[in-house]
Amino acid sequence: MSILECRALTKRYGNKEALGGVDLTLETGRIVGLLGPNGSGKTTLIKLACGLLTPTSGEILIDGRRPSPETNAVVSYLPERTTLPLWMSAKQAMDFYADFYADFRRYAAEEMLEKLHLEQNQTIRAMSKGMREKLQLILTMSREARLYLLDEPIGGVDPATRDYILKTIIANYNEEATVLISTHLISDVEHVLDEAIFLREGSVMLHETIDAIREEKGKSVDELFREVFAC
Amino acid sequence: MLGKLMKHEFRATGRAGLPLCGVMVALAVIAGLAIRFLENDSGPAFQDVVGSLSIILFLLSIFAVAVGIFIILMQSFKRNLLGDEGYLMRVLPVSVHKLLLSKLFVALLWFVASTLLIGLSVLLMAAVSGEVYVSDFRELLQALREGFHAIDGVILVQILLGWIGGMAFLTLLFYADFTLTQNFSKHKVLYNVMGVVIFIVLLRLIFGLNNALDASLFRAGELFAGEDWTATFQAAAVRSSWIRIAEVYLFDVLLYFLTWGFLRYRPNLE
Repeated sequence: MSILECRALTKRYGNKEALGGVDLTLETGRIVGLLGPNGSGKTTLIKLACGLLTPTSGEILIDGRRPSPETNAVVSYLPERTTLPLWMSAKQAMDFYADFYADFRRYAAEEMLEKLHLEQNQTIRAMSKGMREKLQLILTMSREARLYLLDEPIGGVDPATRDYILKTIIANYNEEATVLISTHLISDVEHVLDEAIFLREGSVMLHETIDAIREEKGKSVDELFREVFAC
Repeated sequence: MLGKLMKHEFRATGRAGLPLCGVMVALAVIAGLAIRFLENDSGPAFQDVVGSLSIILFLLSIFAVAVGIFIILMQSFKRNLLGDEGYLMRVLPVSVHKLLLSKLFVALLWFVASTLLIGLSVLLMAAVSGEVYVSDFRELLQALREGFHAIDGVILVQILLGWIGGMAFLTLLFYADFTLTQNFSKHKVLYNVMGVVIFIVLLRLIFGLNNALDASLFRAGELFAGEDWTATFQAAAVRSSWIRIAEVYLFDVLLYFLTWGFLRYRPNLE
């Protein structure tokens, strides 16, 4: 059963084409890596799935429906920037999520905050960039969503935290949910992925399972990526 | 969900708005005390300077509340729906109508509350200064009551509706302007200013047409033919006011849907 479907999905910013006729289907219960160099269209694809952008042509469907408040209820999105109001404390941010998302698990969020040594009363303004990213990831993964869209979730954190975050992603997603992770740090995420999508200049170059890549190409995803996108 | 959005908006805007109101109330008390206790103090020059300064500060704080709250509300809209916080707010499982209405309702409540608070602060200053006594307030209330009774109820309703519609218009004008100019990648501030100027010019044009309409209304009425000149004039004025109020609300609806349409169909958080 597919949770995300793109049909001839095209997005242009003025004359520049960010995505060109993408056809893509993601099944439930998979952890998928959305991989590609800067400007390949990864963030655009994720924003289209969240309804933050509208397609120039084609369509994108979440659980068979166009992005809307109804699909937002089943999608948990982690943007690549700090989006929480800086005046909020971690506790207020949890209150906010609990107010608007019926699937928010407060106990899970509190447990993760404790493990990552984040104080509930500390304001986001007083947190470092890494701490803010951790908090946003905690809030995103504390939802029991059907589709997680994670845009560069490990970009700004140290390797130890990176490992913890990846463990958190695996531990917190349920088997009927799909996780789409956009990242450049392929070697770090490779071991958690079921599938990989290579995007280049707005087009899908490759969409394979990790096992198929290893068996057929005889390479790791990281090696294949470096070969395909060599400058 | 609308209630939760409003709660969040109150929390976000109250952080800056409430201290501003608090400062105004405090300055009202200080100005009142300055007037009261400096009366019998040293020399008249010192008394005048301190008394005048405190009154000036109080007047400035009234201006700061009126303008500051409007700026806080507009900034909240921009940051919350068109800036980085938009990545949080616009993926919530709520419709664009609810997002927009929550901001508009909270803005109107702030305008009503701050207007009342400004009036109460002036009364507070007067009471603290000792220049005005409780009996004076009773007289004031009585005068207001009599004044309201003297005015036709319809006119009171018109004043109230016109004020609310006008404040909504001002708010929605800026909402629409911000949302439209979000679609430009460069010179957004310039387009913001241009948008407001163009809209005001259009409004002037419409109000000019209104004046012509009013003139014909008064002429077409039995103004010169009727026997009861005052009653005929009042009836024409009330009719004309209803048209104006309807126009303001029509503009409100247009601006609302313009903003909604752009937020819904051209989200453009690039």
